[in-house]
Amino acid sequence: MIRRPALLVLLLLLLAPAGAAGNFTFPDPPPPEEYGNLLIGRTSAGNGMKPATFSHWIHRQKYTCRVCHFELQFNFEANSTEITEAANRAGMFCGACHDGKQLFGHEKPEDCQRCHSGNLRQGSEKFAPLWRLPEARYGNRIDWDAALADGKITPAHQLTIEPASEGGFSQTLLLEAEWAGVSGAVVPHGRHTKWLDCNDCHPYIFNIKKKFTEGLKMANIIQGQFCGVCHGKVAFPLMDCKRCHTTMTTVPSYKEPVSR
Amino acid sequence: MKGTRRRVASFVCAAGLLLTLLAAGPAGAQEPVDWRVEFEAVCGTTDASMSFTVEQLTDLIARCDKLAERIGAEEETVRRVYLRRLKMCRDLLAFVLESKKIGQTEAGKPGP
Repeated sequence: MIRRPALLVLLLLLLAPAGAAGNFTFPDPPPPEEYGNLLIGRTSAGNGMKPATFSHWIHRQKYTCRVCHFELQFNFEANSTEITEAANRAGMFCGACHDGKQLFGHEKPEDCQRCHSGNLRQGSEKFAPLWRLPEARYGNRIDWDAALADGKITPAHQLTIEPASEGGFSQTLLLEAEWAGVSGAVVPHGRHTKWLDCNDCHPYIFNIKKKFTEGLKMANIIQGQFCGVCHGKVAFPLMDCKRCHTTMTTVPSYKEPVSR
Repeated sequence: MKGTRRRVASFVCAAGLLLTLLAAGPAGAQEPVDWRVEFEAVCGTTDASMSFTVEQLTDLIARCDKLAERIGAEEETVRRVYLRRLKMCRDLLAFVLESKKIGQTEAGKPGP
């Protein structure tokens, strides 16, 4: 014989997972033109400079993630890469392109402000023309995958390190969801390898055999681990549930940024 | 007599040529002029690592180790930046190798 309060608790526990999808709290989305913008200032203040603004949406039109996060060795975590002016001037990091020849460099004093503005919205006036690209619900409100697939953007996938394979590994994985009522998440390798190198995710973020990837849970992803290293910061946000949980029937509604 | 001298001279020339060629060695055995070329060649393989055999992966890891010694002799900034990248490439290759070895062991086990 179960007492009434105990029965109630039991019922709540049983029902909790089904409603869990709507219980995650995500930070309010920034305006589309600010999504994926960073301030990089590991040593700037010490050198009397403002932090440098970096906009993913500006650079993504010209280069895939692989170029910067694999070839040029920028860590995924902002301000953890040991970027120095000396390294830039020696052609590493930003200096691989910002060398004063291909793009503005580190020689002219008037060019410093073009990055070292300390302003997260630097360059946002260049965003409006991007509304021509396929639409997405969240983030920059641009479906970058579709833009790439449709040839609306043609970012370079290499500077000097040529990928060994054309298109890379393309198997699609289905990861079981932890909650009842939420469908499994698809991980299409093919879409990721169009942007990234295998080495960007493996073996540090994901161990290759999914059973070896411990802690792959939504709560940890929201905290910026696993998929959350990119999704929620620069790639489409986690609140866009159906992009991964493709057959999810009840999709919670989250606060959307301004309309396009 | 003249014939013998000629034969000896020809033999000396041929031996000299052979020694020169042996000293130069096959082109593939020479170290690349620039370590960056080797770095780009080795790290460029990561996106195809799943398709490599155990032998190919073992060879690539050995190339990474050899390359690490060469990069270790560079100036500090270059050393720090490129050794880190090289380690990441090596770690992926080593992980794929380990997965393949585990796969081979499991495939070799008798069924239930």
